[in-house]
Amino acid sequence: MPDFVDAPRVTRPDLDADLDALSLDQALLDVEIANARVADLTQRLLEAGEQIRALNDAVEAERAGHAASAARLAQVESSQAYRLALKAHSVRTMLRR
Amino acid sequence: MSQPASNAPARVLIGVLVYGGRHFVPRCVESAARVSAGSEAVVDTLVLDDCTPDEQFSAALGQQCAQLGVGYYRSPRNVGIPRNMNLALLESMASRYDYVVVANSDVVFPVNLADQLVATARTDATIGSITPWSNDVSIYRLLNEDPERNLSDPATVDWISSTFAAEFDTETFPIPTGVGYCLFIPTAVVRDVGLFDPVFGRGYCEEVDWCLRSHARGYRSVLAPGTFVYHMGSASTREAGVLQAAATTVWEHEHIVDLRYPRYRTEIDEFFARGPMEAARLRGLHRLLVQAARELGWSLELSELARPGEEFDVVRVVVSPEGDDPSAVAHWRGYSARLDTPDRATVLATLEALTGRAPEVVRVLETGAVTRSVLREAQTHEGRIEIVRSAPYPERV
Repeated sequence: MPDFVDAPRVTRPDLDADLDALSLDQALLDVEIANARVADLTQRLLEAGEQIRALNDAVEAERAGHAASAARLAQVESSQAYRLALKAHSVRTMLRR
Repeated sequence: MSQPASNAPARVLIGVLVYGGRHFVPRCVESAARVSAGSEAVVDTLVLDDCTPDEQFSAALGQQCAQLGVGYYRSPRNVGIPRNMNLALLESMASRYDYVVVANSDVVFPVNLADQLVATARTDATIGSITPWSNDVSIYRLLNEDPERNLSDPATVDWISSTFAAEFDTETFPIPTGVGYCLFIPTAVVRDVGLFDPVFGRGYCEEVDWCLRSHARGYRSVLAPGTFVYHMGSASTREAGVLQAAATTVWEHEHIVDLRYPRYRTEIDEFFARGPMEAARLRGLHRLLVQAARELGWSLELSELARPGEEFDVVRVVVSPEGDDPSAVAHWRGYSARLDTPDRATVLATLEALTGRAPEVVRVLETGAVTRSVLREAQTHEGRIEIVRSAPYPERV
């Protein structure tokens, strides 16, 4: 029987070759996993980007709607009819006191 | 006739991860070899040199390993800590070890490392990883004033570990995650959970990820207070350039952990809130100081202030001369523990009963009720007790 059988496994003559092989095999697996993760994260990034674009569009639409409403309100508040109604309301309030 | 498999000694592989460190690696390897020689388990050590740039150091380390019967492998390329650890796990499975230890090289192992941790692992099949206690083991540490000076000697490490083994035996505390400075893992668990994730690049947080992954598969991470390993702390990771000078972690890796395990930080907070570590520390240090006093001797100091001591081995017990604080505080090699002395009239007798021996010397630095009482006890003591009087001025006004 070879002498090294009674010696620790970790001092066997082909330790370097064995660990080189383990290291290489695992490195190849690690690369596969890393590539799969890149593909997965790229897909998620794209989906997140789409979602952000959709949300931005919705925000812009809301802003446009809000601006139109604000402009209409300003128009109403600057009309003669509104100013007369406001004055009448103040007089009524004063008389009630 | 061959022994039945159930009686066969456990086979343990210690994987020591190396990248430089000529000032601390050799003593780590020596200590691992002593574990092999002093264990009932069959213990082999494999030094995994992650392509240290200093080839002379690597050559010398290879020679040391050959002389000690320790395996040595130098990676042709630097692969980083997680992948280097994975080599230890892969070899442990390929060569059918029962357990694998992955450890930094800035540690000193106690001779009882393997036998203690194997016994601990065998208490519960759900244990996925065991982290031994240390002066520097993340949030579970036993802080020491000057660990390199006080604790790094192998005989001291052995003694502390055996003292803790006597106190805690195979007791364990569940912890949120193991610590990669020294992690003991059954190879059956490695087969189930997998390897360390190489996404953690050159290192840090890979053991957190692994342990949390193991928890998802029903395993537990535990701390074993009955085993003590000396850890220099961050030396091996700074040597490898994983940590910047002032950093204590790699924040990019912490963010990966936070993303994968949103409850992890909460679990840490809950662990602190439960507070098992403080009780364990008090218990461990009390046992350590009392045992040291029993074996090495002790001196009694009557003083309000804890002054730096001159003795290195003898335990210094400091007692308030007025008895304002009813307890005595023992100091030894950078560790302290309170010893109960409830009766001020019998402080000397109480401490003698606790330690099993009279003090080597009584130093009187200040007078007071307790000082007078101790001196009375010393006068009527069966054997002669040396009394030394010193003036504390100008330390106390």
